[in-house]
Amino acid sequence: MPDFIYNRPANRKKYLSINKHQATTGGSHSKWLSINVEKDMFDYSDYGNYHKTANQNTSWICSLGNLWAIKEDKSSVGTREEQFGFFQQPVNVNDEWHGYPVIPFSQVRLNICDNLLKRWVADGILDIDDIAMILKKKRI
Amino acid sequence: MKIITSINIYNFHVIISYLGDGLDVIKFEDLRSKRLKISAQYVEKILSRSTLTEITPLRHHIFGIENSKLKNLSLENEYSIIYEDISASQISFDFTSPSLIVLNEENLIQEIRPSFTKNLFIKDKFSTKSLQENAPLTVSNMRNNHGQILMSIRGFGITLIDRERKETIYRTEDAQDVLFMNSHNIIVVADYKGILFFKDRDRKPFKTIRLKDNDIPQEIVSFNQKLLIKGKNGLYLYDFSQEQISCIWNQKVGAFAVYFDMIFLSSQNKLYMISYSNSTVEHFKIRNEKLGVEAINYFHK
Repeated sequence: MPDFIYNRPANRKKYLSINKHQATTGGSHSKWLSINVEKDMFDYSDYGNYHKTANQNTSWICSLGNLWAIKEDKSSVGTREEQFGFFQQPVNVNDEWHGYPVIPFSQVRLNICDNLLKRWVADGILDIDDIAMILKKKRI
Repeated sequence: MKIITSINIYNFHVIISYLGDGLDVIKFEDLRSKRLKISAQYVEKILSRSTLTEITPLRHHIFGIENSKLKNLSLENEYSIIYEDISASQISFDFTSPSLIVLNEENLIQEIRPSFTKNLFIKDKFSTKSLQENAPLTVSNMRNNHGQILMSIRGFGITLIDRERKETIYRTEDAQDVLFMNSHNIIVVADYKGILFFKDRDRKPFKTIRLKDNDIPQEIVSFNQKLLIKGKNGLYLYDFSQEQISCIWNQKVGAFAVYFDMIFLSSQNKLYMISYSNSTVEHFKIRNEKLGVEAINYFHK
């Protein structure tokens, strides 16, 4: 499937699903389990909640301006059992976002910042005992 | 909020790392430390703006990873910190060479001669077929066993690299940890699907055990001739001779470490020391009482 724009509400961030990260594509890049999983993960990260409602929640954004997401039931989102979605901040503010499933902390650019981890614990997205395992690249 | 990210035990000191908040180094006492007359004087706090992971104590120093770079700190001198310009995502120590084995961010293995007074020197660097041909892969743990390197690889399995750099691959679902049990000459894998046992070089597991309520195994260590398993929702002990598994801690565990007959663990950010020995529990005393380590006998042998 070629790259395609995910049509989102006009006042939300724009998203582009990139061909090389789609499940049906060959190649060695990390891949989402499905298009719907990819869309859901971006929505969660942008809205900062699982209801996809715009309220006082800010996005699940790290100090570098990248967006992150994890499913509420912690199930895999990628074909190699990745549980997290990573969406790097676009170079230009009006560009579309895009992302891929990852296991955090395998490279410095894939480190989730402390503030976002603490926020997820405070909001009940993660349990405090999950943090040690996320840093060690384990499944939670 | 201070969040515990790892626990290490070294020379009768508990080393606790926190998310973005450095390390505490606290001495403890028990019957053994009194008998051995431990005289080490370590700093009590090591400050760090970023989280230190993969902490590996060695000769009164700590090697660790901060922002994917290797860091070398002295436990005796809080001002002695050497920042190495060496990319790192996993560390293990080969006592036979002796060398630090460091996996970098590109999944290349670096063999490093350890030094405690000057910057480290990479004496060799090599790639592995399994990690390069199937990239991108994430290594969840790396261990050294008499010069052999064992790696657990997420969504892939296990790679064993022998001294001649020959690789043997054991495919599993989603390997979280791996251990070579020398006493039984087997490789044990903590996998998403359970605990898998492999005979050396035999690619199919000869045994698979599942944890209670299909708990997910995350880490495994050898503990007093048994296998200690950290699951997402508890701690378990597998007795090889009885072929039985028992749950010794029925709540979530964040970090843990073992030392003699003691298991140190964090659960909901509270610290515990558990042991099957009444004597160990009775004589355990932590120097910093503000830390509040609760000592418990878990009643299993």
